[in-house]
Amino acid sequence: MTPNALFWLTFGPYLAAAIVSLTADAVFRRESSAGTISAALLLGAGGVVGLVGGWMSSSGILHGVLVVGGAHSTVSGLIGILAAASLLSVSGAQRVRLAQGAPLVALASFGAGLSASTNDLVMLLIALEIVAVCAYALVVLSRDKRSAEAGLKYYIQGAIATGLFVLGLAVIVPFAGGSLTYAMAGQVVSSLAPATPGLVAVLLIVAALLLKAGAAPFHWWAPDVYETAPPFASAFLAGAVKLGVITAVGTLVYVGVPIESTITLAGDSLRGNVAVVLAVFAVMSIVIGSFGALAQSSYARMLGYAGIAQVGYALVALAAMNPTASIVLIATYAVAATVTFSAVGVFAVLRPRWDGSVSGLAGMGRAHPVLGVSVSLALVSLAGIPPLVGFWGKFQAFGAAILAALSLEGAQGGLLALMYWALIATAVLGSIVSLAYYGSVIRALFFDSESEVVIEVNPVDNPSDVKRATVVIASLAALLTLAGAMPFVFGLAVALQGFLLRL
Amino acid sequence: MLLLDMLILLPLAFAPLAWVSSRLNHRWPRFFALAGVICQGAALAVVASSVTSAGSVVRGAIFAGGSTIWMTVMDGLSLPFLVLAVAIGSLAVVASWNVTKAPGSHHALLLILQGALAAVFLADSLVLFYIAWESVLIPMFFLIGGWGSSNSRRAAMKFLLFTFAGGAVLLVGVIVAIIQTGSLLISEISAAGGVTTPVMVFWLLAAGFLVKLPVVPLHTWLPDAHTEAPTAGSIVLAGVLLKMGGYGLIRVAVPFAPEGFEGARVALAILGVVGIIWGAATALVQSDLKRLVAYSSVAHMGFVALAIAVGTAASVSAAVVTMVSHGIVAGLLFFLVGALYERAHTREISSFGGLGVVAPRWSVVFVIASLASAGLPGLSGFPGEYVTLIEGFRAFSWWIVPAGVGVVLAAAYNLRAIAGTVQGTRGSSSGILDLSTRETSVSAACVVAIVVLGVAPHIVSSTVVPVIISLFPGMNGGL
Repeated sequence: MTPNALFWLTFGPYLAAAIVSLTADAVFRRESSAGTISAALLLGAGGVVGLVGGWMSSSGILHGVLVVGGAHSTVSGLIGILAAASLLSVSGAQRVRLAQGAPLVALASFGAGLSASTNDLVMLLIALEIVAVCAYALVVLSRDKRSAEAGLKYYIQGAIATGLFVLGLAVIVPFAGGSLTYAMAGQVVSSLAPATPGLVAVLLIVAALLLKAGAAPFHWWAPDVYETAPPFASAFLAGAVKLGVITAVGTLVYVGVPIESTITLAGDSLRGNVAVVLAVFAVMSIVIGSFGALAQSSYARMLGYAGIAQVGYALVALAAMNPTASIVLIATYAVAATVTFSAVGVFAVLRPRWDGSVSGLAGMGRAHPVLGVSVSLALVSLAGIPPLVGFWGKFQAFGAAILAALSLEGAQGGLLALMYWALIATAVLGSIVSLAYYGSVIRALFFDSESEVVIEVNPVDNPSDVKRATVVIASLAALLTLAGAMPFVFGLAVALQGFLLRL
Repeated sequence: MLLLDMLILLPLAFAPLAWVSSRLNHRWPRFFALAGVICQGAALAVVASSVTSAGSVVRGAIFAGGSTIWMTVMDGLSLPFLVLAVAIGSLAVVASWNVTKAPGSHHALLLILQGALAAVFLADSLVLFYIAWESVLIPMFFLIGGWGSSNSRRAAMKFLLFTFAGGAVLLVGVIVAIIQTGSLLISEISAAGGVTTPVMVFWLLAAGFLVKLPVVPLHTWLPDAHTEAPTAGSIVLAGVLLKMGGYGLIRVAVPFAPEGFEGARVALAILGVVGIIWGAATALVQSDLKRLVAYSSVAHMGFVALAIAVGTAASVSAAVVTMVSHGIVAGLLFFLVGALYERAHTREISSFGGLGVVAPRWSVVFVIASLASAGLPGLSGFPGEYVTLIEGFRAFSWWIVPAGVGVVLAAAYNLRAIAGTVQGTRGSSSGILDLSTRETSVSAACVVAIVVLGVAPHIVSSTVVPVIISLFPGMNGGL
């Protein structure tokens, strides 16, 4: 397959999905799910092409600004699949919002996939704006006061992010000679003398991207958004969108930060400076995310904070200059997050009086074993326990940081090595804490018994959409399990092949 | 040999069968569970015959072509642990024969546990070892939390967090070892003389192993988990899971970082002795019979830590003998306490008495198991701890005396347990039924094993010693 064909066979269906569902929304009645289903099928089809194409790795650069093959296509494909899953997992009252939600999800998938498949800063800005505009609308679909508040927060923070990004670009543009590819930007920044303006530009662009990814300290919008948006929208925003943004950051680091013979903390070493900046954000994200999640009683809010910590782990790998590890980690997170957030909608239908708390899930796993086991598998994967796929992400990320720490020698490197060991210690601590909050959900699902009489929807008269949602969630959980077993059969190199950055 | 991988895969294959069959008939899962363990045992018997000659190994072959993750190997050191795992697994299935709450899930979890445990003892790839190590957590977590007694949810979380914390540190050690040596294979790394920063790697690895063993002060998860777990859970926990810690130290931590081990020997010995005394003294004052057995595990595992710290061929093989012995004895004791609890619905020592008359079969087995736990010569508890003390004296001279005090305390708490249950006046225990035929037969098998291991400990040590000599560098093997 040529790069051109691979690109359009992946992204074409995403655009088609947006158009089809938009038309269906105009033509059919609100309750009809024809538009949504066809959008989901298109997204899924494009996604599978991207995923397979990424592994086959017929890579190449397209029109100078787009890259296909390897992680770029794998991630774009995964985004479509996760978007389809989040659309299909909709049940109950959310359905009314879905007809308007589907085109937004499809268009945002296009944007998120694009952000993972570009090597140009302007293109990245455009892609992220496509995502952002759709995301604001998705958040306020619930149409209550809290989601309006969350949407406004999200909008303001997003606007700030765009502003920072443009400001960062403004430093680079005068020296870039018309081209703003990652490689050119990296050259400009590392050749600027004095170095300070270049570093400010890096800081601004990194901050803008991390704001989009929901890393601490730019995380204020994240728990609110994930808690109040309709569950399918939270699932999409927390999983697929985050995956796109982190892949973009990974590509930027991979291409834009030139390889230096020695990484140092000296002022003119771009690699060293970027590593320090990312490490600081990583530590903050892990600490704030982990302990924030520990303090939550609301299920979705807890997952929101947990997502901040997960971005932190990805940043650990990035700080160690290993983008592949960070993309693997965030990809495993994205699939599991789609499961855990989609489940919110199903829980709400099965237990109408559920207050959204973790303790309110008591006994849910025993009453609905397939759903309970699927969500538990996703949580175990998120905690990074083998043999689920989340473990491989954690393994890669920890491995990247340890490799970086071990390979540094000498006085200047000694300080940097110390920083990496501190990163590793934080990540270990965070992963131990994570088991406490993920485990508390599993405990509630299976061990706790309901304290009050809860009106449970009888499994026999489950509406068909709950069944469909359960099947989707269970398939994603099966994907987590099978992908986790893949390295056993094919070896780790083959399993990681689809996540290599190819440029 | 493909059969070697089947040791791991067979129980895993039976797990879904056990789960599905419960939909049809609630009696079927237990037969699938038993069949799974028996198939595993049969495969082991076939493979074992080619390992028993000194120094030979069998390699797994299922994904031999492309994979570097799934590498399995069996040698003289893995063999006793695998035999123990199969024996304890069948004991656990029989102990949970009459489980009524969700028998399908219960037996499926037991089978998953069996597969994961076999993988721990068979792994040659360090990554597979770590994966197996962590995979044990989740089924055990569900067994404790789902089928345990009243306070089991807290105990399950505590077990999960403690052992996962140890595992997270272990993971860092594993990755450092892989990066420094450029190899994934445990045997290759050991043969190459280990890592370049031995002190750090030893303690990173040991942190994970010592939590599992456990040594005081990392043991606090153990009494809760053992006491609150269902009988089958306690049996597997005490019988096999704790042995993962000792196995890990011998197989991975010491050969990977010999210099680190040299420096850590005294610290390890102190941890061991503290465990011996702390566990025994705490067991002495327990009023709950199950808790008493749980704390006695801490004491016995202290002996294992001490024996490994001594670091001679004789003492390390004594550590393995102690582990096998304790696996059978503690497994049997938890089985007996579970059987008693099933009948009397209490585990308070004070509420029993005179069981020697009421339940003679139970009493005979209990006395033998308790005496073995106390280290009576002729029973399995004796040779391991005896050799540990002798070798320990040669290494640490009079500093070893406190460990001897632990032996005296072991006699005290075991005799107290016997006096409180078997002897004395018949209290409220008069209506208690004796062991059934099914229970008697597995108990008798365990008693036979206890006696055989007590009289002829060399059946374990002779297969183990050649491997130990190759794993502990600089060891001359003087027996």
